[in-house]
Amino acid sequence: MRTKGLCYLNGIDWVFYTLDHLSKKATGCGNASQVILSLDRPLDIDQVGVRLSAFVRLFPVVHSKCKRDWNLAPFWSYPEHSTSDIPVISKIAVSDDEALSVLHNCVNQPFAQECDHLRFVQVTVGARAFVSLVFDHRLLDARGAQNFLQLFHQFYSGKFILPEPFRPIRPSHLSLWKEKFLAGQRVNRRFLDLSHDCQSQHLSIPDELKARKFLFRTVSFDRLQSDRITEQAYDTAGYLMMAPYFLAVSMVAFQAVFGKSLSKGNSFVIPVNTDIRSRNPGLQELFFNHLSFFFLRFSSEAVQPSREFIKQVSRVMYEAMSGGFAQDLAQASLLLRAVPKMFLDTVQRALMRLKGLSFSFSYVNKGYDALEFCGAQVTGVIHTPRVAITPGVGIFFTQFNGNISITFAFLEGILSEQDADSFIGRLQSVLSDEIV
Amino acid sequence: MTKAEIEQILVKEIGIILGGVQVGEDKPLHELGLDSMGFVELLVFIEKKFNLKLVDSGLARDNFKTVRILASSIFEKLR
Repeated sequence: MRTKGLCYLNGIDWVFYTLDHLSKKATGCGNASQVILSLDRPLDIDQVGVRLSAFVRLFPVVHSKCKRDWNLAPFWSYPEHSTSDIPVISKIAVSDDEALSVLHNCVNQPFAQECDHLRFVQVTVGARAFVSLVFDHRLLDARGAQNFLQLFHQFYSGKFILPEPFRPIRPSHLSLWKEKFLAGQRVNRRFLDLSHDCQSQHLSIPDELKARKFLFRTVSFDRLQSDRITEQAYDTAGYLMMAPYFLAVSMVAFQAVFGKSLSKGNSFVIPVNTDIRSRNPGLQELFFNHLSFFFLRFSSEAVQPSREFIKQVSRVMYEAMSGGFAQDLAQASLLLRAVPKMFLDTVQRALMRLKGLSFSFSYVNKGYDALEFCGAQVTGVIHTPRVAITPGVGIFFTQFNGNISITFAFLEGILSEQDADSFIGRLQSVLSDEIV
Repeated sequence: MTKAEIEQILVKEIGIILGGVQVGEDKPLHELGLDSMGFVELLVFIEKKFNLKLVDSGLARDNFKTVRILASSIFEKLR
């Protein structure tokens, strides 16, 4: 049987494959993302390019293309040996703002070919630099991209050696149909429950999307500010409950700034990413998507900068996670792989019946944790993902070495640049204010 | 169940959640590397194992800071 030894897409990979297809169709650029490291000094880009070339040759999977097997399950087809490099781009900027603007443009540039999924960029600003890995979300998820960079750093430092190229394999998951159907039934029930009497509040997607970019606002907090935010989160949302706290303050700022621009409705509906890697992820879990989602709904009236609301978010997130929705969605989405990608949008909409999502949200705090990258000191880590066209806006928190960063990503035209500045300012102020 | 037995159960589970990390009973959970998702996983485990829904307790740091403190808190609630 030919299927042995192939690397099949899981259900969430297929969802991302579809989102990529829809994004390309609408805007001309796929569902790419970017992880940015700020460094205390620029790298010797020629030397990094040579080492990166050798590193990428260990992973021919970075030149994958999606194909369908005889059993209809999609799989990643990649060459026996990698012979091509990934693009390495070096630019100079006069300020951090200009450097970030260059990097933001990089994530909006489509990859040249279907089998290209990565791009490495360095922008030098005086004696400092930003480096970024632009990645196709079909190949890597956010944590995978950070792990990829960390592995490259280890390779560069001579601490990671592979005797031969690594070839990931993943089973087709074409068994245990009953379990998948039952998971699908639970997912559908949950969606019905969420959609009952729900008019979600969201921003309006512009009619014409061709060539529209995603724009970003990023803000990083120093250690002192981050510690203060962490204390406030522990005090209000509960010990270690950073994710619910960040989600709660995001909703508060979102409603405060965009309240009048949002569609008429009674609820915020938010898809939340959650990592479903095994506890000791190895190289098999470096590539592709190892995450799932759960969907949270909050009454718009409840969104207040209060302890009560923050506690409510903690409870709702706990219930969503303990209910196993994310695992059910990962199981059920395996069934979607048989559907041709052009029909998946319709299927997803039918499944959701939620009449729009308010914004995407994630919090990544396990990823790149080395304090150095290829000889330079890392001073911060930021993510700038292109968000799915619906909802078209996303709020993403990352934590590196105790420092918290936020990215606000939005589709060009969905809101004004001034509104974006107001939002990020408001979010900073909500995070700094004492919650009573 | 004794306090020491609860401690051992928690040490084992937190070690599993953290991917095989050695768990010290007196080390703060955040210093062990537990994040919000891992912590929720731990709360779900406690709910299933001890039939205690701690998320409703307010999750004050003083009751959760270390394995030893958490075990004492569970022990008191089970009595």
